[in-house]
Amino acid sequence: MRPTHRAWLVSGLGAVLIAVAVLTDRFLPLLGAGGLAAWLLTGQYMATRSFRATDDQVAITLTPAHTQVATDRETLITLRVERTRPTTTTLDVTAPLPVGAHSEVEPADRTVTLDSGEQSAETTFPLTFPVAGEYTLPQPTVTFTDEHGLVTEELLRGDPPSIVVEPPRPHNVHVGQAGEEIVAAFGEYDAGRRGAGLTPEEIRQYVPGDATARIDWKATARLNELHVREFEAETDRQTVIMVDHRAAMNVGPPGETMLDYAREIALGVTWTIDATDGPLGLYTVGDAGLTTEQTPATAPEQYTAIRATLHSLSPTETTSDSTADEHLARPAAARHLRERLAEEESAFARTLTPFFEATEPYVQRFEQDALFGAVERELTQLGGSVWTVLLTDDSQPNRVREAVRLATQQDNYVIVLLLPEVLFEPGGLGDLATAYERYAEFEEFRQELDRLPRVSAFEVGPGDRIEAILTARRQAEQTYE
Amino acid sequence: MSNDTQLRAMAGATAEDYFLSRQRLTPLDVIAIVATLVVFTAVSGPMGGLAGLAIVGVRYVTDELVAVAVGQIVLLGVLPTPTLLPLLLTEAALLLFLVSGFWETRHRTATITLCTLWLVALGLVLVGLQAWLNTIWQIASVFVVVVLLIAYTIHRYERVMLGLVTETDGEGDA
Repeated sequence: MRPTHRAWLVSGLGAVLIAVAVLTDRFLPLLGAGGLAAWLLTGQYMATRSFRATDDQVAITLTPAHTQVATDRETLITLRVERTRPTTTTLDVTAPLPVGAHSEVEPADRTVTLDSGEQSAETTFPLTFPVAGEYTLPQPTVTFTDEHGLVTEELLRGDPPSIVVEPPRPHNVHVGQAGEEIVAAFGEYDAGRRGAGLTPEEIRQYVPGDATARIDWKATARLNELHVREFEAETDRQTVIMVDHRAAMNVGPPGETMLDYAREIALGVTWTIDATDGPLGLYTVGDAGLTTEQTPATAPEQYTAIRATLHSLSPTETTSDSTADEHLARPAAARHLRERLAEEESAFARTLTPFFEATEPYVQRFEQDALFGAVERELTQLGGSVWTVLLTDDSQPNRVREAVRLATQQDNYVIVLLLPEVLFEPGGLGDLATAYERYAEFEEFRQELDRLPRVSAFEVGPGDRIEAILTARRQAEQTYE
Repeated sequence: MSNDTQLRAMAGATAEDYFLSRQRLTPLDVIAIVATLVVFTAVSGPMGGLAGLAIVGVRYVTDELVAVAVGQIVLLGVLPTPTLLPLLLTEAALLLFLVSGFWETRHRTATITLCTLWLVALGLVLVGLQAWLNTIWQIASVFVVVVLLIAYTIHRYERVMLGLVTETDGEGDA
């Protein structure tokens, strides 16, 4: 409980009367001081009663519009104050900002005032979180003020809600063909034969030579004849994810670029293969060559390492010119900094130089097309049956076509996951008719790939954008008819 | 806290409301004004009447608490050698001003009754101190300590009622 200015003024009046009493040596002013003291104590006690009654009745809720938001995306927070019946206490409720959050509005705009007699009030304010993580909004600060304006009390009330802030990532990921979404999990494939495995396939009659361990006794009892259960064969086919992360893949809004979608799909494939303990490898291809080479393996660390590589993947650069916002993950920037450090003689340069020497991002540079070169190297290195999951865009159909043809040699299979550039370009859907024409061209190319032996080609992109293009086309056709 | 909120915290309402409330006369204000004019005139003649007018003027310009404080100082001139009856009458008139401040509260009867009880209690404390102690400054010192102790007790009671005090709470939240 804190006295307000008014309480201090009344106390000051009492002090003046006491001073007059002492200075004049008269008892009379002390009676006045006693009267003012009685007035103050009455106000203080009545405030205590009113504060307690208010605290029992008031309900304060802090409600975020979303419990999950992306970094730097604005979300609205509603602060609502309600009491079951009016009391004489005035409430000022302020929602403090959580540490790390940012809001453009002033504290006054995050404050709700409930005057004596009023029963409910609310305010809404925007909040952004620059850093990902889980945030708990602090409890709102409630300030009670009594009806005479003598004392205030500050306390924390209300349940603090939590908000999970995630980095921007692709949403509504569509994998399909000609606008139709496929439902199979990424990375699953048909072995094409039956045999020993875990997934039941069918029950058939027992024939001499079948292992007795495979007899299905329940089916035998039910059908009164010996039956055996067949399982889907499990193979040790190697899967290689090949991710294109050239500069051309850096198209789209932050967190939703073509590379982000490719990464999301690649992570999905990794999880699926991880669940079946299948051999998995990763090749990443930059503008000038191969940037990562993780040959297929089944060790648990392999899947973790692949996921880590995928998470850290950023677009390479087409030029070697340095820019102000260079990042060490980019080869040109790392090279430039290494050269600068080499010119220096300081201890700082001597300490850092070895680290930069290890930042050569390319495993191997190719004179010809990087994607083609990467596939060639993959086939040279790996023996046996290989499934290649290729994630790239449609900007250079010829290079994709040649790389896919090469990848299917030696009876290998390829799944091509193509990202149509038209779905990611800023303003790409500005003219839906043109967008449809470009999508149709893409679809022709996808079908051409899909017709190649041992190749399955799919489109990958934001489902809502594909739907927008196809819906606009359907509506245009209906209008024309 | 915004300026407006601070002002409201000071006055319990907006500045305009507060100013208007000072000018608005409650029935208890009217009784206090009439009683002051009559009693002061009765105990001290025309000079007393003028003193009463001054107190009423102060009440009009400021508020009832300042009027009480000014009235107590004016009483020093009006009653140079106070006897019991005039003292009781003039103090009663001034105390009417004091309780009139609670006329428009939500729990008027309870508040005015409580204020009256505090007045009687603190009056008895002062009279007791006067009988016990010799000098005014001693009486004033002890009285201030008593009032501060009572105020602190109410403060602690309020914090306990609102659940702001725990067993592990330190001493620094007074």
